[in-house]
Amino acid sequence: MNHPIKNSLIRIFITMACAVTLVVSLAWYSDYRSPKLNGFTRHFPGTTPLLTHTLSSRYTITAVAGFTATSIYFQTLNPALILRANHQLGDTSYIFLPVDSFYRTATNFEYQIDSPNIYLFARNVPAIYKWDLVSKKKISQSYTSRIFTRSLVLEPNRFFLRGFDSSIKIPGQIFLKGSFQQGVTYRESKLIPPHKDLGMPTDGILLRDQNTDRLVYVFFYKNSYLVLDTNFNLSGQGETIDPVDSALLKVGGGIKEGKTFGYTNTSPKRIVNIESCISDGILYNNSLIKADNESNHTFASNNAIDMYDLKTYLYRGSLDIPLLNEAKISRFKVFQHDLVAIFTDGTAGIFKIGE
Amino acid sequence: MDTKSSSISSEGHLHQAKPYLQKQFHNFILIKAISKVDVTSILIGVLFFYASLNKFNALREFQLQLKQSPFISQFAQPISWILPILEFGIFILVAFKSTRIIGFYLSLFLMTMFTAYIYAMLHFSYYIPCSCGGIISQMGWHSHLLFNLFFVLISGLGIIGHALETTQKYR
Repeated sequence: MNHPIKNSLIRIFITMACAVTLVVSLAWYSDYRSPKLNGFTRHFPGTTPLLTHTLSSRYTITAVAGFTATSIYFQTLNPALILRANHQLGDTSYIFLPVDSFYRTATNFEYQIDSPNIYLFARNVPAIYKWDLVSKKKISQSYTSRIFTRSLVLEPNRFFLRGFDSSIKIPGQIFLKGSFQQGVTYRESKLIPPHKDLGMPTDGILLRDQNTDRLVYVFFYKNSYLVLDTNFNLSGQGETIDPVDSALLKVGGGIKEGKTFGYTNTSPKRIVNIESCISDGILYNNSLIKADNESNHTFASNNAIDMYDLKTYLYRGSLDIPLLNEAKISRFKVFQHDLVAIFTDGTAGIFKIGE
Repeated sequence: MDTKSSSISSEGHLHQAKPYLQKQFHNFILIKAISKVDVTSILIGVLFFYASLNKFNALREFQLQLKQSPFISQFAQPISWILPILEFGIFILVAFKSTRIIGFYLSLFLMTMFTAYIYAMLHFSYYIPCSCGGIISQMGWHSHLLFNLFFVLISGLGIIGHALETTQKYR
């Protein structure tokens, strides 16, 4: 071999080794390095969930909006369009709704369908609309003073939100309750006191337990969930099985694009609980923390759904929902013995999870 | 072609043909090496010019994305300035023959670091942000890994090509 080439190769190797060493050092001493062991295990009772039906739509399914005895309703990227299917994901049809402030609504919205009503939470408008599911006529609407980030309706006509409010002078979020007739009637700021962090480190999912008429709030960034009555009084508190008991999230920065000003996290996020739902008194929680008895491959190839009994707050076991077309679950809901999952590629799938 | 020496014997012919062929072979390699060096410097120059321009154009977003990055969050502020300046510097260095080799080594160092960083993020971190610019942001992380490896290879070829070119000049 010629000397110049040999010398060049040696220098190339040294250069690359220095670069790799630098990266390895940064990763090794980082607070955000994923640990080998997380200090907990999962157990998987029963059989593996079975995929029974799938559905794709050209309008990109984004979430399950609701169930009736004969139908499943899906929201799409288009806030004016709802996809309806039967419980075998067949016999599909679309529901078109005339949405006010379409473009603003489209930036952040959620549907909830509780027959005979359709509720649209246009979080950035900010407004809540109610339509009749059969006639598609608007029944009522209600506006809040500031945008909200989490929302749900409990019959009759009561809505529950987490968001910003004109009564709070600092940029933090509180819980709000109201009705379509009276608007926001109650504000709760002691349960999770607002800080100047936009409510991001304490962000979570607001759920309803229809069996007991209670609310459940599952934190995204730590292993905790709150069980509340409809006045946001704490009925109980549970912990998820992972050991992440504090949110490692900083907020600060903002990006200006034209007239829009957006906030974002200024540190890496460690999402613990990415999505949850409640069915028949069981909290189903999609966890992003790998258990010590799961291999990297198994964890990466499945979606770990942990189950908690909302009466006892005890862990009841986990389900492993496999990826579909190599896509992870983004949203899901459970209806009787079916887990209806929406995957990141916009496909819906039904998994049988028990008899 | 050197035809000053000539001989009618077959052995003589073979003896004179050998240095001629060797010279032709070395010239061929040298021409190819020069072509390779020019091409590699153009590719690297375009890449780093584009990358640095995108970062300068959206510096605030770039800083925020670095803060969100799992391993370099605490160094986000200095890196957000050093990196685009370094990338622009590489573009300048590879543009001139006298400084090209320094540009190739810096390019190799940076591209290896980026490649190692993406690998570490995909395998050892919780959160995977994007701090890319322009066309590259359309790639998935695995495609980005392959893209970076390609430019590691290009940088290496540029260094070897430059070494060959320098050797030929001093023969």
